Amino acid sequence: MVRDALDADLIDPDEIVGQTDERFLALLEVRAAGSSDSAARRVSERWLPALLGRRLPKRALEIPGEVLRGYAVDGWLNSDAELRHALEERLATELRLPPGGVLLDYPEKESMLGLDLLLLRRGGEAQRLNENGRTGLIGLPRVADELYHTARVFRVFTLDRRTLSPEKIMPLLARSASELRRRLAEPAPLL
Amino acid sequence: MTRGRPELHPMRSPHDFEVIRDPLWNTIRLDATALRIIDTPEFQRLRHIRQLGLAYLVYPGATHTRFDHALGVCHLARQALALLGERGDLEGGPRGLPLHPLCGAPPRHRPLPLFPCSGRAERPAASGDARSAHRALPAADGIRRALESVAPDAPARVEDLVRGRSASPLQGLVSGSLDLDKIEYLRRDAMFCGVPYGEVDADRLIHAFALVPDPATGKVEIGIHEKGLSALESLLFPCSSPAWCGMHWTPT
Repeated sequence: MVRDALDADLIDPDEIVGQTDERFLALLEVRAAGSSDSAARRVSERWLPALLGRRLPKRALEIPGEVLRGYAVDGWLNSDAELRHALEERLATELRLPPGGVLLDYPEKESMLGLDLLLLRRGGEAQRLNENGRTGLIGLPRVADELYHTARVFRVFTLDRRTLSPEKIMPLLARSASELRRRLAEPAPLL
Repeated sequence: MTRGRPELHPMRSPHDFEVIRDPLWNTIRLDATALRIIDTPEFQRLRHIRQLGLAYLVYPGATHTRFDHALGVCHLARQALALLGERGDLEGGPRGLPLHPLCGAPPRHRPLPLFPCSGRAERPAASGDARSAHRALPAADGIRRALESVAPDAPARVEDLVRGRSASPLQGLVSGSLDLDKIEYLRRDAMFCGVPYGEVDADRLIHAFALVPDPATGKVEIGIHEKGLSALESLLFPCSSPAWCGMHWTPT
């Protein structure tokens, strides 16, 4: 919705800062009303009513982060908005959904703990405690890393219910940004 | 003094401090500086920003706001500083600048910064960084004035803390493994979402805070006493649990 609002010039990025939740939604509603711009119409006719009626996009696919360890997707999904959008739009077309009908979601952070602190031992000695833990003292960082990668999930959401096969999507996620860009330029279907 | 009648101290002005109720921490005491900051439009705006954005569409209880969270962080900061002070850790160190102005630092979920947070927060794009930095504190005139009433250089010092570039040993309370924002939101979000997995032992953790010299550099920073290791694990576990991730990563 925010992307559509920005594309339709309903709101300036600087305006987003400082808005309260309700005021932001009301602003979009007022500004999108009566606009003939397609992105503005999506805001007023699709996203805002969907929020009010709690009609959320449906989960079409989930792939655990553990499976995607080492995949190139981490290098572009959250840092290359244009490429991500191009992939979403291409998937939407192939799934016979309207523009904006596919959303890709993959939590950005590769690690949550970021453990790095000084530990004061009982004897007064100071030691640095980091992601490797400290033998005999704390082993959780290693366990937590495993848990984290299991909990981190790549998801594809669709406006209407669709089913996607991981075998079709995972090769795309393995591609680097430039490889994916080349693939998107080819007319052959992705799915 | 009148004989036989106890001398009464004049009642403190209600503007000196305020005691408020909070569903998570029960009682939060706010001093005059904190009240001055809270009474600014910039801070009051946080009442109307939900802590977890649209997550309430999935977790109906998640309607708590950044205002509640910020007061909670203020409470923990006050508690941590009091404990460090009680042990004498703050003597000779940086004094005077209360951390409670940082109550205004909003969390990580959406780019609506009053002070753009360091650490977990979304950082502005490189091209917009200077502009964002320029508008961060000056835009919050009320907060700036409230900080200046503490010390003329307080706004700059607070901005350094918020941006993670302060040399203060207390930087770790604002961003880092033990930052109070994280301790607070883990507890509050779990409570309001009704996802009570991995209770953080905040009280024990804060009691284990210590200012520790780095053996490699000699620089003093916030650390933890060995006695608090179990409490530290209670902080790390929810951060990495599927339940926590589900709560914070619910795409809405």
